[in-house]
Amino acid sequence: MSALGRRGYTLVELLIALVLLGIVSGAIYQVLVNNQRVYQAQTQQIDLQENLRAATTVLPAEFRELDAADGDIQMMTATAIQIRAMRKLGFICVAPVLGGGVGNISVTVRDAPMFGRNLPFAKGDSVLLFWEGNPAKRDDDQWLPGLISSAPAGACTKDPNPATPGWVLSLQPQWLNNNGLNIAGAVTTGSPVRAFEIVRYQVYQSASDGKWYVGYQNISAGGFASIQPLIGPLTGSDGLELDYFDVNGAVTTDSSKVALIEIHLRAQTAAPVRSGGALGTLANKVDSITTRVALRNNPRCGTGSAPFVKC
Amino acid sequence: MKLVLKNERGMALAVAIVALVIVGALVAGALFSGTQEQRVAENTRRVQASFGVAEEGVNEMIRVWPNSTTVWNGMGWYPGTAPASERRLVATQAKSNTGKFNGSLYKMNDELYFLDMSGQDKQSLSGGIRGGGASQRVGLLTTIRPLVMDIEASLTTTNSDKVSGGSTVDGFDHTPTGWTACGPLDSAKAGIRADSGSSITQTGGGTIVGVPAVKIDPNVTDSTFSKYGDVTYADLAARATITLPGSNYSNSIAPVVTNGQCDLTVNTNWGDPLNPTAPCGSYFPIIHITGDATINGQEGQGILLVDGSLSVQGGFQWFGVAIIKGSLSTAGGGGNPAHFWGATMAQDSVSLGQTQSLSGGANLLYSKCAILKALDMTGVGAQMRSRGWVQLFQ
Repeated sequence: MSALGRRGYTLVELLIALVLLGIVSGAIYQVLVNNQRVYQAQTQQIDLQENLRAATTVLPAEFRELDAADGDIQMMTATAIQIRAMRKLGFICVAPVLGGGVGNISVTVRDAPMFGRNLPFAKGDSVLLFWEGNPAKRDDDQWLPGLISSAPAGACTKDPNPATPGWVLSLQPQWLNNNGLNIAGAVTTGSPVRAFEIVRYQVYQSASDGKWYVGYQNISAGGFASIQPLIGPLTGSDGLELDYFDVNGAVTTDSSKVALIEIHLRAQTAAPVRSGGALGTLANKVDSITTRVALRNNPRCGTGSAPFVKC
Repeated sequence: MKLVLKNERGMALAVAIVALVIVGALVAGALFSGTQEQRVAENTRRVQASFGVAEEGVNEMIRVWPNSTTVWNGMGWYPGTAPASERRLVATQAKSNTGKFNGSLYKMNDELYFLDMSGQDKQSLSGGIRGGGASQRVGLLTTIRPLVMDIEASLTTTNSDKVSGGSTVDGFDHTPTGWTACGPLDSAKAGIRADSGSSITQTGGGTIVGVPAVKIDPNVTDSTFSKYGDVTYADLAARATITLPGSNYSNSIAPVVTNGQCDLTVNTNWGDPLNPTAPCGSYFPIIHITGDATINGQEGQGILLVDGSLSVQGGFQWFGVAIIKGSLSTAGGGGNPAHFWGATMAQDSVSLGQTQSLSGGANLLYSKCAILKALDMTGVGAQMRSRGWVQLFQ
């Protein structure tokens, strides 16, 4: 058959083909859109869960090491807490000379074992020194504060091997004024030194996206650094609730009596998710988690122990 | 018709393939995300389980400390010359059967230890987890819980004492010869502290010095000799490293070294206080004698508990704390008198007119260093009074 003799499509055939094509395309489109929604919803849900999971890792790790009786909780409300968070641990290899006048004291800390982050100890670190006092007594054991004014490399000169490296911390602690603490031999070789930061966790609304987050603030240069989002977005200003309990399980508002902190977190997806098919409502998915943290470092005997236990 | 089929230009197949690829990619993406999420969740669970195992580990070490004082308390100060392997703790199955923990024990000084414990959950231990699974690390600063002993004198008694024959009871602090890391001297204590009604007799060159030389104290009671804080004499006896019947141990108390190591299996090896750097120099046993005993040489250190009376003949040298429920008497020694360095407590609770009879040149010298060393080397560890718990990161 010649080309001229060939028949074209009729209008009806064309219309039928177009309708069929439309139906098939629509169905495929619907499948694709649904798939994408499911994917997005799943991604959002995963992000939400990971957020909550991070919260149950980060916050308890910070709270576990608190010693409430010794002032580690500096401020506490239902939506905010300011704490002395432990950051580094080292051990003294050359003890400070105490029993003299007021001034600088020098403490050499071993290079190893040393634990924490941003190691080694450095100028500007706030530290707590273990004060042994009378070795035959436990109830006089305490931790005394200091601020490192310099921390050059040095050596543990009292070791059998003098080449053992260390860091010479220079401190000018105010407690040297106290004759009851400034006693020769009261801080011993081998005693621990812990560095800490003052940090605040609180609910706040971000100026950039208007959403609520658990924010983290670290003290710096005499003031608080800008707040950084840590967990979120939350459901609102009530997305974080902190409850404080004493050793008897009763709610307490006394920061020195806290033995357990209960963390309630209500977070939402970063973007709204349509639930219930194509006609379903578009809304943020919400999930929540509750976790309890027992404070491990409250005094176990003597002053501050609850209930009071004689050492 | 055949020609028409050959020239057909359809796009259904192409569209279907494209759609399938897109749907497949989305499904694969969702599956991947879901799988990742599941893995992260499982890893979080394993991390929590490992954390629990590590924390159980440090608590378990504290629990078994009373059975490990000879080895753990006898370790050298860190870093020392001993290999790191001597600090390693044996890997132990968690009681909860959720994993295993192991770690190291650092002796930072006589009172202070650091436990570095790693825990791994059962699933991670099996080795089938990509990336090695989870592991968590917990540290515990521990201090020796010293016995709360009411020591205010070189010799504490509830009955009458007689000091004669060149004997000395001295309440001033003395550091034993050759002992290091003793710290500053303590303030002077009483020479003899005795219950009301006790009479102290000095004859034949006997000397009592201290501040005061003799302190009559109504607070000296039976519990002074049998209760030390929350620990009783019976508790201490139950923890004894060496338990011996009442007997005459004439000349048999001496350090024993086998193959260069202090032989802890010999019951008459009570350490080597005269040679602190020798193999038995760091061995401080708790010795419990269940009856009356006689000792004549050579030396010992630690805590000596005697249920009956103790008679020391000759030049026996004791360093640490001696608690005698009956009476104490010494004799002989000549130019090498018996010495008690530390604190001596003789209760003599029978109260039938027995006396602490010190003669033959015996010396009872108060020594804070000997007391502390004995208490530190026989004491059990406990989490530091505050801030002892540390989260360690890998």
